[in-house]
Amino acid sequence: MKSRDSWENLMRDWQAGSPSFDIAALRKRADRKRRRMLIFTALDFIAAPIFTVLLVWMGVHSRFGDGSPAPWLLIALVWVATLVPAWLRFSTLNADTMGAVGMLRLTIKRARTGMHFVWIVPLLLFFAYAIMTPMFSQMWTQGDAAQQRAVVRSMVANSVVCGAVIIWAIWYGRRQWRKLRQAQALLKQWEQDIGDDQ
Amino acid sequence: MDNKGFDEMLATNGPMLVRIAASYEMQPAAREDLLQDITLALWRALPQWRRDASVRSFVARIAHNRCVNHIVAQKRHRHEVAIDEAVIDHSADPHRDAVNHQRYERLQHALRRLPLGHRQAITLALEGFSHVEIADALSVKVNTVDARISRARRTLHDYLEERT
Repeated sequence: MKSRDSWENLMRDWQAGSPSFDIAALRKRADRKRRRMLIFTALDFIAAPIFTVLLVWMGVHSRFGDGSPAPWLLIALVWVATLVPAWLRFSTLNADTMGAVGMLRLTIKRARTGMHFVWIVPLLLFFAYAIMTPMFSQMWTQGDAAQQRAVVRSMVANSVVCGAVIIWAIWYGRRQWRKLRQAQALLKQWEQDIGDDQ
Repeated sequence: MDNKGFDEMLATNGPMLVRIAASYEMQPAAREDLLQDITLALWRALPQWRRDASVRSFVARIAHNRCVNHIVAQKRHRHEVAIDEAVIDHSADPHRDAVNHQRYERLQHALRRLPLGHRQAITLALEGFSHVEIADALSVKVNTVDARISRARRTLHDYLEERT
C-alpha cells in the first residue's frame, strides 16, 4: 500500500473537500421549496371539497339528478386522487429517521401503492365516462341543435381529459416502476452486504 | 430547536453534508437540489431527534437516507462525471489546489464504486465518526460496521491502486 493512501491521508483528502458553504442561501432555497410543497398540498385539500360541493350540487340539481351514479363516482375519484398522493407524501415524513433498509422497504411499498393507484384513476375516469355516455346519447338523439353542440363540446373536453390522464398514468407508472426496480436493487445489494459481512 | 439553533447545526455540519451529497451526486445542479432536500428533511425530522443522541449521527443518518432516496429517484445510475471545482476550498496556492482536487476526485471516484452499505460506513469513518456512532447513524450493529469498514477499506485501496 502506498503511504499516500494510508488511512490518515485518505481522511485528510476527504476532509480537504470542505467546500465553502453558504447557509443563508441554502436555507432560503430550502424554505422556498418547503413553501411550494405546502402550497401544493393546501391546494389539493382546498380543491377536493370544492369539487365535492360542485358534484353534489350537480347530483341534486342537474340532469345527473335522475339517479345516475356519475357524480358520486366522480366524488370518489376526486377523493382518491387527493388522498392517495397525500398518503404517499406523508408516509415519507418518518422515513428520514429510519435506517436505510427501513427506508428502502418503505420506498418499495410506496412504489407498489403508486403502481396500483395509477390503474385506479384511469379506470374510475373511464367508468364515469361510460356511465355518462348514455346520457349524452339521449341528449344527442332527442335534443335540439344547442344540446347537440353541448354534447360535442362535452365529448371533446372529456376526450382531452382522458388523453391527458392516459399520458400522466404512463409517465407516473413508469416512474414508480423505475423507483421500485432501483429500490429493490439497492435493498438486494444491502442484504448481500449483510450476508457477506456475517 | 429554533431557527438560530437550526442554522448553527447547519453551519457545524454543512461541510459534512456537502461531502456526503457529493459522494452520491457529482453534478453541481443536482447536488444543490439534493442539499435542499437534505435541509428540508432535517427541518422536518428535528422534532424526532432525542437530545441524548448525537446530533452529528442524526444529521448523517438523514443525509444518507435522502441520498439513497435520490439514487432511487434517478432515471438511471449516472456514469461518473468530473467533480466540479467548487467542491474544493481554494487557497492561495493553485498547485496545492490542483493536487487536492485530483486526490479528492480520485477518492470520490473510488468511493462511488463501493456497494451502498460499505460506502455509507466508510464515508462516516472518513468524517471521523467512531464505529459506535456509525452504527447509531446507520441503524446497524457495531460488528456489522466493523466488518463493513474493514472490507470497504480493502476494496477502496484496490480501487485507488487501479486509478494510480
